[in-house]
Amino acid sequence: MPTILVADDDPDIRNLVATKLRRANYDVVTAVDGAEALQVLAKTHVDLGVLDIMMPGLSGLDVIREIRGQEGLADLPLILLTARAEEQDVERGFAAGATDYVTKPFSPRALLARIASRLGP
Amino acid sequence: MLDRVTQAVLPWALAGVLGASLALLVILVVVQLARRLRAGRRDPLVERGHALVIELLAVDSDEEAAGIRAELEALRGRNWEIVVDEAFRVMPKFEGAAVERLSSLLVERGVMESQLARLGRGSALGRARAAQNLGNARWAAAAQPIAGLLAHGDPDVRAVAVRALGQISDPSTAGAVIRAVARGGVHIGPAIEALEPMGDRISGEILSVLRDPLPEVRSVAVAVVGESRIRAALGTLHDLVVNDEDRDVRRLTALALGRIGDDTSVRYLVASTTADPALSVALAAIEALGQITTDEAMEVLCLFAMSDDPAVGMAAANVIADIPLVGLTTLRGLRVKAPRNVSIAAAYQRCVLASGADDPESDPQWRVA
Repeated sequence: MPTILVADDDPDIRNLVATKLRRANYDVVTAVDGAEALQVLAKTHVDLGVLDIMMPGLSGLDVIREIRGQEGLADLPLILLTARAEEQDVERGFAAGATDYVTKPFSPRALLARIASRLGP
Repeated sequence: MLDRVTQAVLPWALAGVLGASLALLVILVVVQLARRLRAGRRDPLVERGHALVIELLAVDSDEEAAGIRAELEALRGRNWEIVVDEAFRVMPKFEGAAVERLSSLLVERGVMESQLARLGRGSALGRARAAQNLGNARWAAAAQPIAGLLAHGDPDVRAVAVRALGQISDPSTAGAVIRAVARGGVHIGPAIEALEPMGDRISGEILSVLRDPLPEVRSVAVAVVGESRIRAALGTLHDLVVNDEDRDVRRLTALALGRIGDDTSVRYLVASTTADPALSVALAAIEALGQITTDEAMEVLCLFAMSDDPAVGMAAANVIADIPLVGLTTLRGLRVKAPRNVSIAAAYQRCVLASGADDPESDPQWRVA
């Protein structure tokens, strides 16, 4: 099964997204901040990442920029899951290299559908 | 005689004090241990409550939810209270079917009804807590009862009520929020934050508030309309900016028209600049024109920049200088048309300095005497 990275400093969001994905038979790895997300990506094969923007230390945008500069991870689908809902935030997210942008509060079901559509059948 | 009595009693008295102190110490240690034990017992309960809530939010169908619901429905007393607290805490983070499933469980267990009842009785803290919970749950039936709390004597209760109304997002409460701000009971910032997401949905309610007899209410209403960019209110704003009897209302209306940025407002703002007896309104109108930035608005601003009235001229030139991209080139053109206009020259120099561009007017003939 595809492996999905969930990086969010909010345990409620992290737990729910991870639970939802595991119920849908995905393998899940989690990270509590941007630095841990990069560590996970360095040692685990991940098929898609769900990243919060506002995390302590490295933000989700920093993580995306870092990932996009790495060989082998340049095409990794990355979904930003964030409370930042202004137009310019969305623009900034896509400019950094995000594949998709979901604003909080969010529907867990809709997020799962977006993830599934990125990973294909 | 007294010495002898003291000598006899003193050791007993000291022993008594020492004994009492020891007993007190033992009691304190026991109480602390009991507290820690209770806290240690509660943590797993909270953890389990949290896990159950998350699991219920994560399932996709009622069939999948049945097992978790059965476990939740069996909970009583403190265990159930923990789940309720957890449910209300996490609800604002999510939306859709997951939250509806959690809400329906709370409804079935009578939680929403009891929270609604708590809005109307008990301590300020209890009422605020109930408002916060119902807001987190975005419980529509709570909108009007929570709006009632906007008149509560405790400012913290009113602040929680405004936030909860923003979460519930019922347009019919917009007028109550605006009036609460006008009464001084609620700060305008949180009120705008609560009303802004409602957008055009509050236009019906807001149109009546814009005609409120109290100028304080109208002032807040125009500010909200501007921040929320409610275009449906443009006609009323055009009337208010020119005709409202209150100077502050006219000034705030001009600023609101700038925020909305609609081209149809230009002629009303021109009328305010040229005919309003209050300078503050004219200056607000000029500022608003700078936010509209259509060709027509720019043309008008250029004319005002060359006005004989120094206050109007300086305000218009400064507004042009602050317009990104076109400000500098517009002022350059104005310098050619009016080389001796001090306001334009000053705004132009400021604009050049701010942009870091080379000053093409380094030739002394451009300099203002």
